[in-house]
Amino acid sequence: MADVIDPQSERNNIVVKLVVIALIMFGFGYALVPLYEAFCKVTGFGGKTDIIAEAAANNGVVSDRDVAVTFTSHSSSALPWEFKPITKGLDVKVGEVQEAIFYVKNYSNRPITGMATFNVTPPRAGFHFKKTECFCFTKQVLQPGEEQEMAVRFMLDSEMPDDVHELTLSYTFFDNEKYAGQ
Amino acid sequence: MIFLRIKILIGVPLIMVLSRHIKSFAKISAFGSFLAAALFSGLAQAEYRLNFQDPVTEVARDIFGLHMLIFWICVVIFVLVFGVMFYSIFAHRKSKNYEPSQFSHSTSVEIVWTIVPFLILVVMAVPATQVLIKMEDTTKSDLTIKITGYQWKWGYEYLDSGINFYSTLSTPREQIDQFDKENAVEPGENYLLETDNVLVVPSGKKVRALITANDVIHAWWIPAFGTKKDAIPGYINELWFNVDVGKEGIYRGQCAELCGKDHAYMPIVVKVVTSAEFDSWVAAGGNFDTSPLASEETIQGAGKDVNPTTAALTQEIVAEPISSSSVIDALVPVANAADEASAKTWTEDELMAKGEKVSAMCSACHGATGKGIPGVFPAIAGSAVATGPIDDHINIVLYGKPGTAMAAFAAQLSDEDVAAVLTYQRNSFGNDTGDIVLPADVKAKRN
Amino acid sequence: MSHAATAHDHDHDHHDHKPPFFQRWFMSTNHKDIGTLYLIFSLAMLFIGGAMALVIRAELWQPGLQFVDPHFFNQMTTVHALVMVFGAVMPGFVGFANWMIPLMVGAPDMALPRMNNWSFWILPFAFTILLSSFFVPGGAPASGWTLYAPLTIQGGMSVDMGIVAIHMMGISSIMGAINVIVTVLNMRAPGMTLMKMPMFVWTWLITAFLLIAVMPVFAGAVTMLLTDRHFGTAFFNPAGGGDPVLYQHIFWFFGHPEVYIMILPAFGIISHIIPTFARKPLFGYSSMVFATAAIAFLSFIVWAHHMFTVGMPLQGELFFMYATMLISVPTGVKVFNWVTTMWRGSMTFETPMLYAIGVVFLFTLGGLSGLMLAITPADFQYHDTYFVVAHFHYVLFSGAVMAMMGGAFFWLPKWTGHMYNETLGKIHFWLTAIFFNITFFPQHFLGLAGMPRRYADYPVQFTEFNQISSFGAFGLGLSQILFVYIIVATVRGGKKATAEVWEKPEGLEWTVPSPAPFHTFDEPPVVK
Repeated sequence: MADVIDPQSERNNIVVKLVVIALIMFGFGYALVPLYEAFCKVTGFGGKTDIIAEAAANNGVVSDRDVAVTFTSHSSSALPWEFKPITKGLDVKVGEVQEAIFYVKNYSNRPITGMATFNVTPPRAGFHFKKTECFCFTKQVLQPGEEQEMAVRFMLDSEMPDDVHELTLSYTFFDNEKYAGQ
Repeated sequence: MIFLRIKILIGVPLIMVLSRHIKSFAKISAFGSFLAAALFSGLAQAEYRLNFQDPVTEVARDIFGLHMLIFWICVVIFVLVFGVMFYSIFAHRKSKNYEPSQFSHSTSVEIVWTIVPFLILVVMAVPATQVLIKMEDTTKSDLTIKITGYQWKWGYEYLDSGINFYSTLSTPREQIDQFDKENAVEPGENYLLETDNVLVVPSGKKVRALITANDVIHAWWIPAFGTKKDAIPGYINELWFNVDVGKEGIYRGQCAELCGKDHAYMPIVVKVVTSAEFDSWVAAGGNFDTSPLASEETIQGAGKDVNPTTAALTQEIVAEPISSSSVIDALVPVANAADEASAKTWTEDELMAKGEKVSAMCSACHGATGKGIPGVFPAIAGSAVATGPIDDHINIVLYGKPGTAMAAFAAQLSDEDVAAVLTYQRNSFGNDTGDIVLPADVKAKRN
Repeated sequence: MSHAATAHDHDHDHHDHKPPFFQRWFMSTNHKDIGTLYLIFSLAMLFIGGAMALVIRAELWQPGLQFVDPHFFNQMTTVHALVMVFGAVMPGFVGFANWMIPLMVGAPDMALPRMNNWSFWILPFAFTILLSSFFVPGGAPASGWTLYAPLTIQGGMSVDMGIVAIHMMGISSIMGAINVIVTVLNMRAPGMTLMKMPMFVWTWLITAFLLIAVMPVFAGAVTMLLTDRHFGTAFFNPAGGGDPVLYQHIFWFFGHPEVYIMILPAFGIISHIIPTFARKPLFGYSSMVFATAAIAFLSFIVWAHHMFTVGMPLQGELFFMYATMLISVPTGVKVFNWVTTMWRGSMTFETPMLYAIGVVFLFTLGGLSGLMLAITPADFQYHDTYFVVAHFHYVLFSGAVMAMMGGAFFWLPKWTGHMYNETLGKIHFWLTAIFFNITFFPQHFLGLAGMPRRYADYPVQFTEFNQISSFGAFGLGLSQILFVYIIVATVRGGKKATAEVWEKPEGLEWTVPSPAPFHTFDEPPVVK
């Protein structure tokens, strides 16, 4: 019959498709990095926070709902820095812009670059915790003996789940030497 | 709840059979010499616990109940399914000339056994959801403690009072290292479940724990409380527990996430006290010596000389008057103590003796013989740092090594600790520099 | 099911011109020879991984450190798992696929014979790299087979060697999977529609798609680890702003389907053995196929149940709990189908049937402890304890490995042309089943009582059950020497096997002579 498909070419066709699927899935592994970010935003996984412009933040409607925010910090023991919250806790109204201060000191004898990671518990509150300004947005370089007070400005948006009455914002400074120059 | 602790005599002959087998199989002489000991220790303290530790919080009881509910459902399913199977195996066999029927499907039966398991799952899911919602509700706590996992110890900080300390394994090394039978000591009752400092919490109060880690992932777990959460570096997690009034006492747990070499050696010990006792302990600055808790022998290692370095170190930190406004300051016990110490004149012997004790801290990574783990943790023995210029050595110990896991110890060790440990390292493990490092040298390098 | 319409008596001597030794075994493109190579490799890895397990059990004989230091202990647990998962179980099933799929679908060979040769010969090199990492400074990978960051970022160069080895194994598995899919889709005998395919072929087809979907994701994850370690990226390293939990999500996105990759072909083997010895067709063929597909689909949306303790929002925990519980429905369907296949059959209990019954019984036990693990609040207590260790050994050893042993006894007469020694086979089954339970059943109690996994040393109250477990482990290990003896003896001689071997078995593989000739089905059989 004339319309018989050559089995060899059909075979090659399947192989090509499967190899493409495998390559796509390899890419998908990498795509999981941004997808995870989006996934966190939707589901509240990871307790990641969001960023908002100062102007937009100030336009928010301030409600009279209070949320108790606790601040904690840790400095990796590989980093000779002292790091602590000066503002230990705040009662924050939903929609209002607030500021918390942290203290950091490099007690070593060399300049050091540090980088802070952060998250919020409970995690579902994360993306409704919006920062307008934070020392964690950039790497911090401290000279020997240098001390600093660093600020984070933030607001809680109106979408903050109703059952969140207390939340904790945590920062951890790590030695960023390995990533210097990037 | 069923009390599932059985002391079985059957265990004894079993262990005997067991030991005979292993002996003949393995022919490892080391096994043989241990068999007698194993046999008798097995006799003395055979404990065949079959189920969860007795719960002491409401959540742990809920989990226990849920666990038993699901367990019994599973048992019923198992017995039914395999009852049918074994009946079939005995009845429908060729040797009984059973004529095989040839049916191969039945839509109605297949629908039933898809739907019925689904309904059973719903029955399980409802109580599970209720317990989970309760577990995740961390609001309205009475007390917040920050827990930090380190390789390989735990750090505790009471956010409300500022009390903070480290908690390190206090089981003596001679009990752990059984390679050399001559010097080995029989493991004690709380082997691997004892620490120098213990976490103290009040009963009847909702305690919230914020959990993070310093280096790699750990997990904080007290089985009797029904709590387990990962401690993740750079991120914070939370859990809560509320121990029943009347259940005061010591509770023990262990790290539950693989965190490297000494994963099995960073236990958690929690002392639950009454609310009043807790308040007076806090009022005493968390000091085990002056608080009402001091007299009790249950505080592991606090009075014993098992792990003097860290015990002394943490007590030093705790003993210092801590202003509640400044938590981290307490972690830098440098100023006062160090000034007094540097006024003292130190001999080489004194430094070496002290250094040997302090170096327990270093041997967590660099090994008890200073050989490290090649490719992971460098050796001290014969290293360029420990045999090179003293200043570089001081710098590394005080401020860490950039881009590596080497911690900065300036905050944890006093000048004389650093001086002693440097002196020790420069004259041990085959290092033979003859150098003596004095506290004043270290002080000079402090910033 | 299918019936071969044509006899294949002409498939005889003139097809059996085998190439000389080197060409035959090293340059082979013959599916049977490559299948044999895979099976031998898998057996060798079973012994290497098993030896590591015995080091673990020897150290855990009693509290304190007697034989190895904790760092070496961690290397043992890590490499034991990697060798067993990627060296013993996966290649073992690929060996079965190579041998049996062409015979079952009536194809002369695998669709891509040269690729078949590559995909096997990559493996010995991959494992040489992995195992030689014991001899580099710092020893082999010691961070658990899950290779969690940031602990892996801390490891020595052995981690890099492990990553390279994983890449090679991954490429090998993907090539094997492509071969299976093309063979099944493209080379079936005329008349063999998809819904007439034997269950083993179906389960492998679905497994192959799972492999292609998730092995590359794992490759991506370990590549990110590698660049985090050496090339300045910070996907998972918090010191550069990365997120360690992200690694776990990616890993388990691979890792959970991987669990089914290791068990679905076992389901396939069981679905052949039980009908044969019950002398009754497999009950609910189409529901078996759909259940397999449902399990494969669900395996993609349950990954986070391996990581409930990392801290996730309530809704997330509920979703993953419900989804995980759902998997027990299709799995239950399979177990019910097997039991119903036995029901009112006319059963005999030769070694393969004993294995099949053992697998159904013990795998279900592991499945039920899996259901307990799915319940999130209880999982907080079970997680990372010996309860989990017991659970996955019930699923992987008494599920996957014992199914392969059963399959080996089932098809050994077809492969070698000789019957194995039935008495020894039965003794091997009972030794394996009994010692397996002595080894792993007490681990349930250890986990519940609070013994964490991956511990080189443990508190004294766990001593008794650990000793029972260690005793069982040595018995289990030694019993496997009998397995090798039986296989060698059967290859060398024994009672001649007929083409059918068993009493009226189903399937094309029983229409060719025993031993199966070097070339089979040059003329495709017609299936009605």
